[in-house]
Amino acid sequence: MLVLLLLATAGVWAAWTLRLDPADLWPGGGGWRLTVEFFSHAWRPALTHQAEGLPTDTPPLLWLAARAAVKTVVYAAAAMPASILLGLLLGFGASSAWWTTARDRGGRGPRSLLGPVISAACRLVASLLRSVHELLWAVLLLAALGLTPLAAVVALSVPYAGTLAKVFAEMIDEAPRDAAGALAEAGASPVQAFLAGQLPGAMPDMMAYALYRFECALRSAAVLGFFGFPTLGYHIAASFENLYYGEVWTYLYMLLLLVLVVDWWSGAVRRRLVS
Amino acid sequence: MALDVHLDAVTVSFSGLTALHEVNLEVAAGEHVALIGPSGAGKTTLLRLLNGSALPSRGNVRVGGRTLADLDARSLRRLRSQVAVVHQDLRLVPNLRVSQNVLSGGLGRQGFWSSLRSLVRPATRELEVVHGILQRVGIGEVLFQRVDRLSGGQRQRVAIARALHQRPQMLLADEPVASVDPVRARDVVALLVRLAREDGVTLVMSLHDLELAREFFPRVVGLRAGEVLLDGPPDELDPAAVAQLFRLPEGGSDLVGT
Repeated sequence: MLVLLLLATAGVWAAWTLRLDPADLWPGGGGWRLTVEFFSHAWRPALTHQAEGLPTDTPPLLWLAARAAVKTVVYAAAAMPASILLGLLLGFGASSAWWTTARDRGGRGPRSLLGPVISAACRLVASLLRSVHELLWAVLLLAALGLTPLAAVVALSVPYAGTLAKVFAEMIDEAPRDAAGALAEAGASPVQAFLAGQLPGAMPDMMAYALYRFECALRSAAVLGFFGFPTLGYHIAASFENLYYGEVWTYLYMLLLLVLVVDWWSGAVRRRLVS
Repeated sequence: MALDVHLDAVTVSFSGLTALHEVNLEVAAGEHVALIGPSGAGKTTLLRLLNGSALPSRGNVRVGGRTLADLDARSLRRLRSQVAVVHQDLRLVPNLRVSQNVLSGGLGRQGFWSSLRSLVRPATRELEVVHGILQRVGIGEVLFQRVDRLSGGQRQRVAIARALHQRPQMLLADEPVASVDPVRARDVVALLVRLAREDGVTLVMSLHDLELAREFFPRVVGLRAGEVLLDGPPDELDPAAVAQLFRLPEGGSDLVGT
């Protein structure tokens, strides 16, 4: 309750500091007309190029949109394996289940300090990775590597690995511990007990979350197009600058379609895992 | 092969509470013993002593001739792999198959890589072994089913199968029938006793129900408030001591009938 009150107070203070004025939501003539025009195209996305006098060999708009959608999926898909792998490694390390089980079962001596230290180190690394947003990573990597697909893929995988690690660690620690405890009691090593007794309980949630992050990666990959990568964002930016709002909506609907498909897919996978 | 147990003036206390006080107990290799007594009498603590999950505050616990407090981590793991525990709450992994749960009982005698392989893709030979164990406990047909799809009774048998796959030399059962209806309780106790006899392993089982202990065990040990109150064959038990076992501390009425 007190926390909510504090948050509300902080919110009001911040709004005052920023001189937020609700009246600005209704901008003067030009801005408002632009907004109306943009949203009015939501009902009639472009099916063909809005530009006139294009070279005759220009591919049709929908073909371009489909190709950009495929590129977006490819960029996101290329980023996920590395981030999942790194996220799993850091997530295992950052979770406390693998070392507290051993400690609770009578583990002693200097080796019992190893667990907390590794765990804290993994958590720190995961925080560092995700404290820099993928767009900032993209700016850094563009400067370092240039406009290569690798820059976009690395920019996506690094912060995603950090987020996955944090959430994986929490899911592992929240899974029931009784089975791992029983296996340790039956002579299994801490790592064996963790892999056979603790991890399987967290697996369905972890897979569903990885799929959700894939959905996030699709959106991020699309936005990375603003930097020049050939994903949906590239076309959105180009059409927007030319005031071809119908085309912008075509690309936005393409992105929506991708997200819906992945959402449906992850739902199906999840249902299969838990039932 | 079976393990013997030797408790020498064992006291266990944690955070000021004494769970066991000056307990002396000998269990011969291959003997079957029922531990009875009201809740909080120290039955669970006594069982935890026998696989090194709890250590005595004073006194000495020897299992199979080895003093548990003196064992290093590796030797303790070896000993634990020889002592199987069936818990009241089973402690299975519900979203894994029966085969995987039973196989995990064998982790203690497997190296890391071979255990990893048998969890991910068990060899046909391993599955045959598991199927054999499941048939022994009467549920051979559920080999590839997920544990969370099974009935409560089947799950309990999976937990027993996992304990058997450990190939133990001593079987401990902590209130295995506390949350089971009376008819099934009798079946489960009978099954555990039969398995222990067939394999020639030591069996120590804690029970609430004196009648089950009388029916299936040649020796009953009664605990109350952390002390051994009676110890002997069921038909030689002193009725007065039995009555005292389940009497409330303030001389109130009997909580559990005999």
